[in-house]
Amino acid sequence: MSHREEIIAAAVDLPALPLCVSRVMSLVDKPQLALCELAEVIRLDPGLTVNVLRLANSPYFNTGCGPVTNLREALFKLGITRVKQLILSSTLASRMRGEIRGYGLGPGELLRHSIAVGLGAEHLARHLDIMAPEHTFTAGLLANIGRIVMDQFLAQDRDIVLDLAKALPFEDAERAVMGIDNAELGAMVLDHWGLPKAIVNCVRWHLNPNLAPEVDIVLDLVHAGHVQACMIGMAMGLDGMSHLVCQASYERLGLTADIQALAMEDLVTDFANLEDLFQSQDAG
Amino acid sequence: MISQAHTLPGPEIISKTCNRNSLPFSFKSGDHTSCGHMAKMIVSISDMKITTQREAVLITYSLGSCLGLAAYDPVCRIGGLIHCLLSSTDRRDKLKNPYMYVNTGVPAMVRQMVAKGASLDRLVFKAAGCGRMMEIMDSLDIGAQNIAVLEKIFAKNRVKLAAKDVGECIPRTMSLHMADGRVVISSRGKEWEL
Repeated sequence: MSHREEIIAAAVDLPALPLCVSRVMSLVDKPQLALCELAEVIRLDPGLTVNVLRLANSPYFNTGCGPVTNLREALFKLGITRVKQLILSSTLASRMRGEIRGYGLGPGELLRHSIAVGLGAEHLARHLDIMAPEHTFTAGLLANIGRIVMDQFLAQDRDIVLDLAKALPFEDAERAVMGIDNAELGAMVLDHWGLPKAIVNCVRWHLNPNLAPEVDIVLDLVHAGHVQACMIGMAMGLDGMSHLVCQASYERLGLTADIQALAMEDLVTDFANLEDLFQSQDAG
Repeated sequence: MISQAHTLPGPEIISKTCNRNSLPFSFKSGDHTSCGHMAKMIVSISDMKITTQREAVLITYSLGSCLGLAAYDPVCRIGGLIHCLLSSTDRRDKLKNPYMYVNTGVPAMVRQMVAKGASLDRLVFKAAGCGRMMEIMDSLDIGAQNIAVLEKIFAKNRVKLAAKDVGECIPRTMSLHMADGRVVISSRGKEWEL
């Protein structure tokens, strides 16, 4: 078995998504889904119910009108799109809290970085007057999921990869040494879990949208969110800033220095609220 | 003294406009930890801290394109460390956090250190961070802008930067050891004195 095959085998060995989460995800794909129907499924899972209520009451989502005390009210407040994002995100977030030693990330740091990418992509869209599709945040949050699997393999070859990454983008160094990079691996994990292609493709190409078969606004936003998180230094790993900036993506987005600065200010200012939210989640 | 062109309102106004966590001399829970006999004081992103504690180590993690600037008066043994996200703002009146910017945060730190007894002539300044993503366009290269604004402020005020470790793609952690004024940079498992 080659190094690449060994790593891919470890990726498809990851535990599947919890059944209740899969059920909720399949329900919210129904175009005519009623909130009460969604509530009926979620209320059967105490963990999910608590999480949805907690999210609806968080300072980030609850901007007034007092506390949200029941599930239907929470779903009404958040909306189906948000609920879908949040259930999936909070479930996966629980898998990203551990130490990722191969990348030099302490406990919780991969999650912090991932939240910064997702939130950064959303902030950029707002400042660019782009109506970000609903999966933008989730695609950003999941962009680094491949590192969970790559971690153990990178730990063995870290010095060689770091040495190569002095002249190459980190992902190119990963591919040269291990036969696969963390973005391709992450896309494989998400595909294996049955996530929508739109998210899988974003994760696959977020480090270099130039290589993607199609232009995609969410991919461009997630790429810019990733660049921004690296520049800010949000829980940076050993890879640091050894990543490419895709000029074509930036041109498509119309991203200027002023907008970048505004989005970075917002991200740093808002980050604490959302981070606390995910750090305290206990789903999945 | 740092010129008025790059000065902020005094500390009394800063304390009204900053949130609690970014106030100088304030310690958030978890950002002041004891490590053996050293007290680690963590400087977050867009944050600044000043101390006179001899056993303290001021430290800031994960410098990407942000600027980390350490200042130390070896006679008074006053030290300061700031972590600036961006180079400059012209919205001085509405600033929530002056430490976010080089052009407002650095003068604010220096003025507060001087108010505590430090001498501008004796202060030793060392800078780190200001990293660069690969193939980033110059107009978006925040790291280069951060160090350029710092050097401009220093040139205008005839202040010398004693040392710098800036640029490249590496992440950096910067610490100022109050016992002797050493500034140490660590990155990717290695560390060196600046």
